[in-house]
Amino acid sequence: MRDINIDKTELGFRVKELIDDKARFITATCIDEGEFFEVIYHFEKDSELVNLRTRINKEEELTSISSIILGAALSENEMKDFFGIKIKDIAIDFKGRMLLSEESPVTPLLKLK
Amino acid sequence: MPRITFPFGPQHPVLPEAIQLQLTCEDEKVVEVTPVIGYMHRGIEKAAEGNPFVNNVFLCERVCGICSFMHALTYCQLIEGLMNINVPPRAKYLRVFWSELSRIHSHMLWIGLLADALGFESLFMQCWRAREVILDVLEMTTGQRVIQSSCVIGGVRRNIDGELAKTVFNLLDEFKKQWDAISPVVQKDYTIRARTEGKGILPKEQAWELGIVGPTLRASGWAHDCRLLGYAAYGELGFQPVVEEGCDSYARTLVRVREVDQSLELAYKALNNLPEGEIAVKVKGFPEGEAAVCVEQPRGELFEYARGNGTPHLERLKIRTPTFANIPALLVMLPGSELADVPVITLSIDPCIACTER
Repeated sequence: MRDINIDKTELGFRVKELIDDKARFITATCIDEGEFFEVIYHFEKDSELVNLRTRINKEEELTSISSIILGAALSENEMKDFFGIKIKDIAIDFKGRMLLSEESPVTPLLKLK
Repeated sequence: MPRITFPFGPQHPVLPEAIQLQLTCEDEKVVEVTPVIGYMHRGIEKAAEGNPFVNNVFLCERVCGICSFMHALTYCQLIEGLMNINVPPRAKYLRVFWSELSRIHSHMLWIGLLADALGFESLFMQCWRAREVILDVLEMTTGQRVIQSSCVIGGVRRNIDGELAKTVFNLLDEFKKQWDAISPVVQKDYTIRARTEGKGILPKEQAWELGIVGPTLRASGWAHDCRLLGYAAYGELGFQPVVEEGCDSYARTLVRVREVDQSLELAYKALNNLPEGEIAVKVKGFPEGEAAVCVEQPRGELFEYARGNGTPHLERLKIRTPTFANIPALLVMLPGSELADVPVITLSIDPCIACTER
């Protein structure tokens, strides 16, 4: 497992770099760290797991990587559903209701204060 | 040409589970597709945070009713990685044995569903009849047909001794006899080829760029299979992925057909070479730190990530199932196809929506 810590502004560039290097997108994981979210984009490169990690304040917005990898759209929608994280420009945006119905609780994985 | 948009699903004869495809068509040709999910989300990742980590084995197993054993295996390997637990060799071989039986019965179920979607009812029934033999072996060796609960953190809960192994070999021989009669029909039948060849093309480069996994990826020419990582006993048993170059629904069918043979061979090998010794070790302490694992499920790579904080409860458990990764493939496969081919092309990724939504 290889970790690369990046600033949110570098995300698109770093993803593009990995994709050009023939890495395969696996998924994205969001973790509620209290004041901020930790977002991990997981890739596979030559059978090794590569994690692109970024931390953002809960009020901040992340730019979607789905314009580079269409397959990431579902993972990003899922993070929006479960955590309410702000992600802009998702190729197909379900607006926080991809897995959750209108009657479901909102942001179920957000930690209670 | 005017365009019309209409829903395909969530209830449709070809879909065993609920997913909607919003299709935009020009006459009979599909020009655009938007998948809509969210009909069967169960909040498993949330539930996992509330359970003691040991109990999550049984929760994760219920992500899917077909490859339940592999969901339990993945979670167990994840926690074993977090806690540096060494699983006894005998347990690793038994894990391969049950994993491969799960793959066989999943592929047999899918081939049956494909036949059913084409209106080939006798083949559908033959496939599911042969599948019953594998379910009998699972019941005989684990006590359960569907949710086996035989995998635990640190090993397995059930052993297979000499007498039971003999009965299992007889049943596997019986399955092989039935399968050897079915397999050529699936590969050569005129109708199956006419309905699948050249349908739902997923070009090689696009398959990789979209993050597609499993038989869907291998049918587009990629020798990608998590078993190559050598987890459980795969490293010792030897293994080469089944690859096809056709990139169409027929290639995806062939990959699964050939994988039934391969899984049967691996199941025989695992049982024939069972090492002596314990089947489980005791687990002490609580998970701390981060780990991620990949396991090759019948539909492809199952990815799990966990973060522990030294308490009985995990801070985060992330489950990315293969169908979740494969749904974007439909955005490439379906546009340009005839409306009549949509059911078979959709089926060709072997969608498991209960897995996808967790």
